[in-house]
Amino acid sequence: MKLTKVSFFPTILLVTFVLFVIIWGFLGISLSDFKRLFLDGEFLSAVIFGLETSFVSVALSSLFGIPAGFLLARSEKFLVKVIDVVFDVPIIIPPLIVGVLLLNVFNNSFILEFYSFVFTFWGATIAQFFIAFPFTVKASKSAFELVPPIYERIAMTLGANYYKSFFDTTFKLAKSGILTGLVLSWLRSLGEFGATLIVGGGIAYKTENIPINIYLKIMEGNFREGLAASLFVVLVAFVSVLFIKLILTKNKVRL
Amino acid sequence: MIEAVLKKDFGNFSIDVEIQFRSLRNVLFGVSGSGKSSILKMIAGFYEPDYGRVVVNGRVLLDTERGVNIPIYKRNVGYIPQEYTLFPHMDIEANLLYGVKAKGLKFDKDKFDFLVELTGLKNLLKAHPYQLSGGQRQRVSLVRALLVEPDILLLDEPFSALDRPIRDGLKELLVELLESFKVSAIFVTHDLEEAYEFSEEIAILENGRIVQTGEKGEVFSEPKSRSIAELLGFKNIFEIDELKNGEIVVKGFSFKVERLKNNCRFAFIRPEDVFLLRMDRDISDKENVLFGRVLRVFEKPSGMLLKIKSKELVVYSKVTRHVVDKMGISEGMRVAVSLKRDAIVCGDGT
Repeated sequence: MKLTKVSFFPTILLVTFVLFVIIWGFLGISLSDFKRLFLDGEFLSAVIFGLETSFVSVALSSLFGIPAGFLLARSEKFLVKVIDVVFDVPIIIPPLIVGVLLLNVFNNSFILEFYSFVFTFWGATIAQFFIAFPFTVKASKSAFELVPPIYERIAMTLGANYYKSFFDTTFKLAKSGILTGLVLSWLRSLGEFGATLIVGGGIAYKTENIPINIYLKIMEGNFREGLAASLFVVLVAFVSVLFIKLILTKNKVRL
Repeated sequence: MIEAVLKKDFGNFSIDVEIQFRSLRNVLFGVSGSGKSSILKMIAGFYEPDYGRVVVNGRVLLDTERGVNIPIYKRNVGYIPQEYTLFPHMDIEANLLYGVKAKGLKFDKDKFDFLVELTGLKNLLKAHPYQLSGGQRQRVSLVRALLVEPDILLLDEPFSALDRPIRDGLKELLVELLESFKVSAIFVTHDLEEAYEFSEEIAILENGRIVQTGEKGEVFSEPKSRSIAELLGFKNIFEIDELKNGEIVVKGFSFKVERLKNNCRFAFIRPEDVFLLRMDRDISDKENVLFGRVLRVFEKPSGMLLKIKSKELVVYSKVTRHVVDKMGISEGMRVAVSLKRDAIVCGDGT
């Protein structure tokens, strides 16, 4: 039997598994559950808080992560290789533990002299940023690696300075890969639970984001509402990824 | 006029060259890994040599001693590599006009139309690079480079990935463009024929050093050393055992030579200059005659190459297919050849 035929079987199993879990969820709720969700002030506040923190987290990720990805892609220095490994750390340690470590830093008397991050918007945002930025770095790195530096050089021989040649060629050619990384960072921030809870405290109407809200709903015994909110997040994630895929196929550059 | 002194240590390899080209069409010739591309890249400014000076038409682009290092985008140097030449996300028109816009030059519509017409790109302006053939892409690349009026064009094996007929057409086009725009070029290649066709002046590179440089005719007819002779297609290379009365002695045979130099340790002659003689005629007036047996007959696209052995000496002679047919040459046959006296060149063993 051909290998593609053999691998068809496990593939179908995986797809069925994923779809079954999601569809089973939707079968468990009705449209009125969704309506009730949007009349729930605490949930809406959690959505807004979640969007705000995740957007700031993505903004910070792009500001620092894209240049870092560029450096990782272009530099051959040993130090840079070490840095690449350091960026794996936020991905491999559990979010809850990231929260504990951040809490430890924020409670340091030196930092407390400037700002008290614990149980605040900025505390929660930094926690999400810590966990989410490596996705932007990794995706930018891979995207930049796929673009040979020769385009930039040719643009320079045609009179474009260092920045213009970079933005006109390498950046534009790497854009879709970078965008994918940003979406990953955003979804990761939006769905962040452990670190945000530990650092932000999950205070209703203040530092409660969507996953924390869902957790509290279920703890309070409102399982049906928690399920509806969960499926809402699934929809948001699905639509965002679909949207990005559409943009990417539309602007696909053929080499 | 291009002057370049470049020294660069890469650890396991180093470049140490002094280049001076005065012609429009200049060739940097050498095998892969000899450092040709690196030299071109240092002239373009992609990276810096440890020590160097680059002057193009009197303008100093780099002088490490005086701390001069003009950035790439101000060097006014065109660069065309073998691949990845066009910006894949821009259409052909945007590619062509990129430099004009980046430099803020005034758009010369007549020149643009002329070039686009000449290169047959007129109907492709709205196409994207992936829709073009390799040859068309290099034409776009050439026109794009010329539109910004460079002082010099650096061509890094630009046609090596193309099929032969397309390559030939592009070479003609290139020469035509360089001559009509009076732009000088350095053409890097490892292809002997290409080097010969394109060059007016040539510099031969070996292991990061220039081993011989000069006018094309001079370099191609008089290689200085054994390795250059090999590179330039002198298939017959003999070690000289003795020099006697203006003659060279090779494995017991004496040959008359036109020009003997002091450092003669090897003699070279092209197979084209080893003539096959007709045994039914009087050959007593022929110079440097050698009798031998045909060991092998090799068929080449441009004719037949005969491997002839006389005692311990092996000589290659290149003849036309017609001659082989007419004289009925076959392996094992006895033949006589004449080594053209003024085509024997001698040089050192490096």
